[in-house]
Amino acid sequence: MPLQLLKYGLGQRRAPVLPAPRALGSGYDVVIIGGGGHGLATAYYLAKNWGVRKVAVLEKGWLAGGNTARNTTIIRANYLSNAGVRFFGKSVELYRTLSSELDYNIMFSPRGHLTLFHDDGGKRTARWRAEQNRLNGVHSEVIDRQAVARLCPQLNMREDVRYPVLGALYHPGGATARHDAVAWGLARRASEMGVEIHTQTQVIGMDREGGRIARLHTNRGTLRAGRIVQCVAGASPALAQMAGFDLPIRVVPLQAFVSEPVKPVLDPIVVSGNLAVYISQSARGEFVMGGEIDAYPCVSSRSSHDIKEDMMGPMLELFPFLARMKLLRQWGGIADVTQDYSPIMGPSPVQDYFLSAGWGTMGFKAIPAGGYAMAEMVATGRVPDLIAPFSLERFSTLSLVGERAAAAVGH
Amino acid sequence: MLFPCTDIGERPKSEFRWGGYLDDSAASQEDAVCAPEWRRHLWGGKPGGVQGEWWFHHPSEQWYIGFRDAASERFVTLEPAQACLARQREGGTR
Ligand SMILES: Cc1cc2nc3c(=O)[nH]c(=O)nc-3n(C[C@H](O)[C@H](O)[C@H](O)COP(=O)(O)OP(=O)(O)OC[C@H]3O[C@@H](n4cnc5c(N)ncnc54)[C@H](O)[C@@H]3O)c2cc1C
Repeated sequence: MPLQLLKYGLGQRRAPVLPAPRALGSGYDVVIIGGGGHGLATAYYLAKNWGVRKVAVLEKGWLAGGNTARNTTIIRANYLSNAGVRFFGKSVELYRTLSSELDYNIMFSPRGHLTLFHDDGGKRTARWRAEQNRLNGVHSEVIDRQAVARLCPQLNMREDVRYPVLGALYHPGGATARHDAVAWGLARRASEMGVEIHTQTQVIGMDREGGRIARLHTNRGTLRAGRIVQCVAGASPALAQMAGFDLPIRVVPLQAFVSEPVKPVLDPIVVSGNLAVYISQSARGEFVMGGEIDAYPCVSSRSSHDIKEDMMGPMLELFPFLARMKLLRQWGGIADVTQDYSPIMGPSPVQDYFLSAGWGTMGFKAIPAGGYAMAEMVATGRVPDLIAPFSLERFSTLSLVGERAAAAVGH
Repeated sequence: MLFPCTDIGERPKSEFRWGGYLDDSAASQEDAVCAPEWRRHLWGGKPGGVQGEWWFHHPSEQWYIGFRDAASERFVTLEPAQACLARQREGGTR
């Protein structure tokens, strides 16, 4: 479409993502609390797949300014549990066609994903993941040192280091995408279909009557909702407390860094479990780096010097050439972490009140499949098979979905 | 960042390891442990505010109990666990 491109380039102004704000209505069929990727995707698929359009998304800040704006944009399906591989596999599949579906360029960029191992334990986990992936139709394989060096020539392959590279779990489908564009594209299409997106609108209280939430109070007024979906990431325990129940979720900062931009040199995404760091190069040329969550809970999205020191040392062991580069930014997001490193999607102890939470360090890649399945559940009242294993109930029945080995460092 | 201990003064954050929430609930009394409380003890999170927590100080190999604001990260108190628990047993509060 070169003509359209020309027109776009010559046009005076870009259309705003959202229509001008209007007054908050007094009631909606569905109210979604939280205008991050998950809230917006749920709204989009409710309108698109189920014709549910009397929907409001309430966002306390600006559009998708929470973890959706703060993540390192890694998309992959090489998880460990059957439930995890199937769910994230579905999400990667939806991501592949999302730009054309939304008619909005989300800059989906497949580049392959390497999870390095440096010892026998790491190799065993890599084999296990490769087999689990294969069984569930996701392409992953264990590759040796030589193959790693071919795929990523910048990597330090010396053997006289603390953790020499022995091989990797290679997942060709690993990708990145432009995080803001994902949110904006979903928001724009959802609002075109009639969904109201209210930013600067914070839920500050709930009236519980007869087992359900009768009214939601916000800083812009009170409203009723047929069904409520909570998608608030780091605020998950606080909102659940407002609704009257506890969540098995801890709130812990997760930090990330970018370097100054340079020409493209690093193609794949590289993760090291032993060194607890990961890296990719963005479309802008910046190296995007991160690692594990902070060592203790905190509800502030601050960043800290100790984490910089902890992460950059190991990073230089993997990529010594980075020593000559400057860090441009460091930031934190408030991750909502479950003990099994899997999300919580499904009904809650409150009637007509649904949860999409516990996305912790890995929820960006899950935005399409999460929204897709949540919309189906909210519209039909039935829990889709795809997300049944991720119920809140699993913590009572002790049927946890253990993903720590696949999700603690690589997000 | 420095952590203010009542007995050994200000120590760098890197000397400490977080050891979980201090539970005032029945979960810490073995005979009263029932499933929901035990679950909350193992996996429960806190929405914010000042929380009681266990901290292990590596150099002295001592456990501390701290009350800390989860947003500002400021400690209200941070003292040896023994002393804190002894006072609680005597019926005092924090
Ligand atoms: C540093 C970092 C790196 C990450 N890297 C990756 C990665 O590489 N790959 C990956 O898949 N995932 C990654 N993640 C995780 C991912 O970012 C999140 O899991 C995902 O963005 C969660 O989306 P969400 O919509 O649930 O939450 P958010 O985007 O945080 O949206 C929740 C929204 O709820 C709003 N809200 C809160 N309280 C209220 C209230 N009372 N009323 C109204 N609105 C409210 C907030 O303002 C916020 O905008 C990373 C996270 C961080 C912090």
